[in-house]
Amino acid sequence: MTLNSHSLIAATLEAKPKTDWAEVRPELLQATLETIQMVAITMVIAGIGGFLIGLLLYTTRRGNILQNRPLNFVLNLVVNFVRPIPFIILLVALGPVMLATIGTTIEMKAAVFGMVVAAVFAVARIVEQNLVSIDPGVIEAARAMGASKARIMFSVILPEALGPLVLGYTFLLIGVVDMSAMAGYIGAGGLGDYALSKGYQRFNWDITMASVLIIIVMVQFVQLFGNWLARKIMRR
Amino acid sequence: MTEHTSPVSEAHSSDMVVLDHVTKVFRTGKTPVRAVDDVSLRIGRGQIYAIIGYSGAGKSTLVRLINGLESTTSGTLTVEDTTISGAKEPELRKARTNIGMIFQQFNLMNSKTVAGNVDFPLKVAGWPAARRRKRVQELLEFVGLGSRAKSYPEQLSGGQKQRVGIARSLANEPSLLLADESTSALDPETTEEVLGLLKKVNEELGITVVVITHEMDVVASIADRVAVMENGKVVEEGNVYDVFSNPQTAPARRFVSTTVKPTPSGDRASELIERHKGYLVSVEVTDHTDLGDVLSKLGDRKVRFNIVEGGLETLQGRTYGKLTLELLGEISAVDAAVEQLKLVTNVQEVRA
Ligand SMILES: Nc1ncnc2c1ncn2[C@@H]1O[C@H](COP(=O)(O)OP(=O)(O)OP(=O)(O)O)[C@@H](O)[C@H]1O
Ligand SMILES: [Mg+2]
Repeated sequence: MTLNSHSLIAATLEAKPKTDWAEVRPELLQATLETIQMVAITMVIAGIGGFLIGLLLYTTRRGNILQNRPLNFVLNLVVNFVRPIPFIILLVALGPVMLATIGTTIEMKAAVFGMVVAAVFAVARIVEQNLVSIDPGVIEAARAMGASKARIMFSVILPEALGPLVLGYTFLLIGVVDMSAMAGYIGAGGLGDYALSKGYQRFNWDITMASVLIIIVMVQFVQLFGNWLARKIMRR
Repeated sequence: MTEHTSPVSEAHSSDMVVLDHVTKVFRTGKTPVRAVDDVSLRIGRGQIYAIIGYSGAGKSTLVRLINGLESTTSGTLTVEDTTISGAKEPELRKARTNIGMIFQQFNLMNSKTVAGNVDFPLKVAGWPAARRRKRVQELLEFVGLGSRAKSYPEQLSGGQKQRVGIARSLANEPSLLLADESTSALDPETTEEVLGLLKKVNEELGITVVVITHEMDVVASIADRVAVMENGKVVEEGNVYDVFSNPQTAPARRFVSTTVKPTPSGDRASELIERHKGYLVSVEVTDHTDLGDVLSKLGDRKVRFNIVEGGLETLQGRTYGKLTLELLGEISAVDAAVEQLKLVTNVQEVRA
């Protein structure tokens, strides 16, 4: 993989005039910061919103502390409706909603809007799936001790599922980085946009490859950190 | 329901738990299930009260009604002065801090240390941090785990986990402790330790304990009174000694026979008769049986005896059991010996 990309870069270097790295470097840095910014904003909003929706999906199930079949049905319907839509289509389809709410369908603001919508439901589903694996006996014990529903949710359910949740969020964060690259299509900025407009469209493989490399390094770092954190929380 | 009238059933003027025609119907499946069916019970303050029954009898549902984890379909249920049946969630939450509960699978939080688990109910009840720390240590000392505060549940054995469960259930100084199959996941030795601890909870702290089990040994070793459940109904209820020595219903007899060997019958009787040429009788042994006197004088009547099988239990500090004797000698002498035995205890002929 690395070998291949190196030889590819080498091949393009011979065919094309040299890339002016002095000019490209600050742009790459700028694009990287934009990617980090988009991903961070999306993860904070979708991470919290998705957690709450996922918690509701789980607790409104039959026999759980907030059992509510109509609400559970509706939540499931919405999640299943949004999730299968390919992100790039969703980004376009959300146009009217974006115009009505944030007043634009391009650039970073719009991209983050689309990313939040896509990510919030993905987070909700992943959170729900991790919560189902909690031993119901532990929740029963907390109820038997007179704990309130809010306390059960945030002092029992959340800590009991924290390890798997960290892994789930890591997985999602990488998905969001992926989305942010696609958001380049609507001129959102960031590494994806940079690779497309300065690299791909101008046949500059150096820039495309450099952007890709930065994304790979970021993703690797996030995954390693997530694994380390989850292992620490689960004590294994 | 069969009642065993005995002094104990009337001695307690104040009841801890009262069930009055309590019914619980589950309507989740296609056909409704009457998990608890018209049960009326009184559990006296300071007692260890056992509820025994086979799987599906409705025992767990019954205890879950007591702390309001399930709502009653009809009837009234009170714990001390609180009416649990029909109570709203905030009221129930308050009532539950006065009712401890322990579980077959312990149900400890894996994300918290031993101390964290015991601390949880104190936080729920709003104790200040400084008092909580002291109380947690005190509780852990009580259950013999003073040095394991910082351990996580996965580092403990089953018996130790259940001790943590007990410490946690005692945190808010409850007056009632519910134990649902609290020893069913443990080996015999650990079972004994945990039962000993429940007894200590009852004796030293004066807490009323309700023990759910399907093992008669558990009833025999710690309970004062027992209710036998079958198909959602309490079919027999009484003082443990009375139920053991004189079970009235088929399920009670079956449970009793798992600890106290009953008079041999059927195949077992045929087998015994085949192996022994003498006359076989089964005699009941209680504290007040002058069996020894009679047996020691059998020789004078030219009757010899062998003990063939049997078993004795100590129930509530009293002996109870049955022994099968083989009597050897002249027919008339053996008959006279049987008459002599009948004067001191219940005697049954062993017949195929
Ligand atoms: N939440 C529920 N929904 C529907 N049916 C239930 C529910 N809980 C219990 N039941 C039914 O009620 C009956 C009694 O169950 P319960 O758990 O009280 O029995 P148990 O005596 O505790 O049995 P075990 O010894 O196996 O624990 C069973 O038929 C069971 O299927
Ligand atoms: Mg049960």
